[in-house]
Amino acid sequence: MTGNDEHLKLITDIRRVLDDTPLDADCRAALQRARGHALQAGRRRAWHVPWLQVALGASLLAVLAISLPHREQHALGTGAANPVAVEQPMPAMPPAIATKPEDTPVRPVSTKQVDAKPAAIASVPAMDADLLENLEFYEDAEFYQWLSEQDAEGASDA
Amino acid sequence: MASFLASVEQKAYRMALFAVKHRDDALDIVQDAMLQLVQRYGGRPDTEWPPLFHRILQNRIMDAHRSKRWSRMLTPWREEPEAGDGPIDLADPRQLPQAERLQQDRAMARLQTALQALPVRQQQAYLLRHWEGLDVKETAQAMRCSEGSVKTHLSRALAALKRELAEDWP
Repeated sequence: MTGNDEHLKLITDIRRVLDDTPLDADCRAALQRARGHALQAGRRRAWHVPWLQVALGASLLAVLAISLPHREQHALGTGAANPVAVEQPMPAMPPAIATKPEDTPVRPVSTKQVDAKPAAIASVPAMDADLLENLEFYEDAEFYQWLSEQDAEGASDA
Repeated sequence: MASFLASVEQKAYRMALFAVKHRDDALDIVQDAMLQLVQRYGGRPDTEWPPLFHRILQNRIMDAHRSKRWSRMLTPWREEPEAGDGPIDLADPRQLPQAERLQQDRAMARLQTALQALPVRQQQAYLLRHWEGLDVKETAQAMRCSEGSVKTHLSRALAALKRELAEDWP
């Protein structure tokens, strides 16, 4: 038997003795408990992984970022119940009004005024009535101007 | 993960026991290694678990061995279990008939004495390579040393075991 064969035999014998000698029942039970403890601790640890903490922090910041402007508006007393309502554009004019430049509203209402006075948003129908009244006034004014011109022409003709 | 740990825990315990020669310390080492594997590397693919587990285990064994050495140096009056006190853990008596069990115990006791007499690095190299079945590269990774060092440890361990177990063994 060569030295190499002796080594191989020794290695095989040692492995066999180690494998064939089982641990006693107490040791096996202790190892089983240790395994259970490690697995249980690993499950608890899953809630403390770094990416989860980062995700929770980011969502908390997002919630704060959304809620803070609302709180400021309420504190200043300028906040409308729905911020979208503040950004709402002015109601579109009827086509008949929009076609003539001279038919533009007499009292222009800017969006700033709407922002500053939320009460104005509630009186949009009243503003429409004003516009219509102004329109009628202008139509009347045009008519009277045309009539006066006609009169003037007639007088000059005469 | 549970089945992987169940498959390696007994060998891991034996390796730790050969190194630290104390049952409770060996159990602590194995439990720490399992805990660290589950907590830090539980999400990794299961093919990576064996080398990671052995690396953690060998680190734990070396840590325990170092702290034990320091403790022996600082408090030499404290009693430590001797390496040659016979088998630390006995085989389960229900497994084998009486005669075979006695022979097995004798063989195991001599082997245990021979293994415990080895320096820890030689023990680790031998058990990982020839019992756990890792190749030289994996053994080197687990032991955090070069492949050349592993071969040197293996050669010395084998020569020492051959001297100790040459006659009438197993």
